[in-house]
Amino acid sequence: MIPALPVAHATHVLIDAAIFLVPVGAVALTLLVANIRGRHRS
Amino acid sequence: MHLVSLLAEGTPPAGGAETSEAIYATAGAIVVSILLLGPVLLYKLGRFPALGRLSNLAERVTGLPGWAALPGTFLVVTLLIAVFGMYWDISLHIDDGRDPGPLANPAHYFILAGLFGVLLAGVIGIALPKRATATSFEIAPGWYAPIGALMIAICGATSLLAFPLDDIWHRIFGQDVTLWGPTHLMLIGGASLSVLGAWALHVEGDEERRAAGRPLWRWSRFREIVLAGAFLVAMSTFQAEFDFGVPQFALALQPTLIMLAAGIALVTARIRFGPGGAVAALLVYIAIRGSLALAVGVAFGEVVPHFPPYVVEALLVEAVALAWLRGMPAAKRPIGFGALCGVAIGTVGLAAEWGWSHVWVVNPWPASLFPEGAIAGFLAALAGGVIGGFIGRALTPGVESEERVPRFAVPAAAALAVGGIAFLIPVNAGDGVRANFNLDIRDTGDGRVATGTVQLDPADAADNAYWFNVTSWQGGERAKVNKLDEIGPGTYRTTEPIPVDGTWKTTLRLHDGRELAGLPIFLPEDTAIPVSEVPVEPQMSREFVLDKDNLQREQKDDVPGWLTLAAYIGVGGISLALIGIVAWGLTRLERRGAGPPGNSAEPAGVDPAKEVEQGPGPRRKGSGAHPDPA
Repeated sequence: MIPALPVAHATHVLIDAAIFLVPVGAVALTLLVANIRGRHRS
Repeated sequence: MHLVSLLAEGTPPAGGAETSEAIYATAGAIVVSILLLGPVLLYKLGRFPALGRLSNLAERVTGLPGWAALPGTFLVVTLLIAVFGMYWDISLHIDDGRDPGPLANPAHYFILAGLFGVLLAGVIGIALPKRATATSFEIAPGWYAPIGALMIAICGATSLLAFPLDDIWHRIFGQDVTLWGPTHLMLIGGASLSVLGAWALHVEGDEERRAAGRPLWRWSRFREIVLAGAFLVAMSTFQAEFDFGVPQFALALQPTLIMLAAGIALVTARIRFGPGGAVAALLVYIAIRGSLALAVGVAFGEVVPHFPPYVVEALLVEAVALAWLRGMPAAKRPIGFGALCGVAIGTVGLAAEWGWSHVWVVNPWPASLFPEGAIAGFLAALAGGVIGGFIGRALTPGVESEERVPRFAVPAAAALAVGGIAFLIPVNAGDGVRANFNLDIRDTGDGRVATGTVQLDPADAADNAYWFNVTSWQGGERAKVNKLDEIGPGTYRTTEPIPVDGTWKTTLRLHDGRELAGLPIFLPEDTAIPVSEVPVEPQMSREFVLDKDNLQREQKDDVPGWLTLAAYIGVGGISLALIGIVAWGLTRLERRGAGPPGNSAEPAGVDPAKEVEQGPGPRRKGSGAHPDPA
């Protein structure tokens, strides 16, 4: 049986972290894609 | 609907936000990210030319390249939104206590919007340039990120990271009802340092302008003065713990922080702008902080955010420049100039602020704060002046420094500043001082209030106290700090009725040297923590404990030591890394940021002899941004 409290905490933390991860991740992902595409072209 | 139900809750949560609130906040973040960052990324793919047109408009108005003008202007606006939210938020917490939830506090929306804007400003600055500059990085093919824009983006990301970390911190350690919570400082630090990013970006753009042989426009000069004033505001945000009259840390930290901020920001402004720079920055600072005090304290009727005037310090910086530099640009001898300014600020300037504290500060600095406050303030001013010299030198890359100073001078100044603050942080509860109350408690119809006397044991416990007062806060109206009249040896009388009802938290507070103690007169029951009511009684005898125990009842005391240590190291490490990145960015700007040599490489600002156009002039090409990116 999975203890309820840690799972609840972990879910909450993940949701929390998305406030930071979504915008910063979008930028990081774009730069990563740009780098891969640039390398592919060269 | 959800917001209404949260507002209707009897007791606000004390250990982090409800998960449903976090979901709403995250959903909002996703929508905002798509709406704001999406166009920037599309622009880079050649599918959103409107951003390029906006950049060109900014270029025409300022004379600076669009990639420097647009994000910098955007950042100033977004930071004004954030700083308004910050001061309003602090006042709400002091007057009303904890939030029903993070989304139920209107001030939080301003902070969130402002900090999202900081990240966005950085991303815009990274996305706009179409070619490399002396200081830019090619972070991906076709992405030439100016160092200032990178600094802004990293600062914005750090501030955003502080939001979830703050909630996690509250869940682990309980809510820290103080500005100086580690994650709160990380949030404020990111936003504050982003101003330096904007200034660096402005300088990068200005050097490009100089290289292109374009004149400096009055509007651009004013724009940079706003940045200088914003930097002084930013350096002063850390003092907010003291500005509202309910500080939870040693009083000696207040002069220390004021001196540090004055040294850093005013010296930087004078070096970058030349004559009048420090005074110009001061005027912008007073306009911003004055507006905030009026908005929060008068318009909203919350506790007033006081602020130091810095007038004497600014004049001292100008006077030192006049007497010592004799017409030479301060950027030629920035560290020596900064150190001299630090000495002047840390002596005469500190004395002026000491006097001002008796005019418009809730807890004035008593004579007993001498010499501790004077020594700490002097060292902070000296450190601040040297750091300001370093920043000013970096922001004036067109002027070659002629001074020879040890390489360790700036790191030593930084270590002195950090070490001085760290030294003043630890406090204790003192040696079992007791207070015996004789109170008259009556119901006013608007809640119970108490008046009467208190006898200290030992009687001389508050003789040389830094502060000794009754503080009532979080009662749903403006917080009160009641100073006591000594009517006999160790016997004090209240000077006005003190609230002892409802959600008011009323404590007797005693601060003397390293002792920072308090005892509860009345504390309400709080089921969310949970803690029982500490009732007020007509006759009662109570012992002083650590002040923080009364003011931060939400803090959990069953957290393992290793977890606390790990959390502080983690958050502290992120903050130090941020400072390191900003310092590295400034160093890169200093070494590689200079445009072509020549007379126009003098300090860029308040110099009447400088070539200045009214602007805007005809549209010019070649600075990088255009509506149809290749």
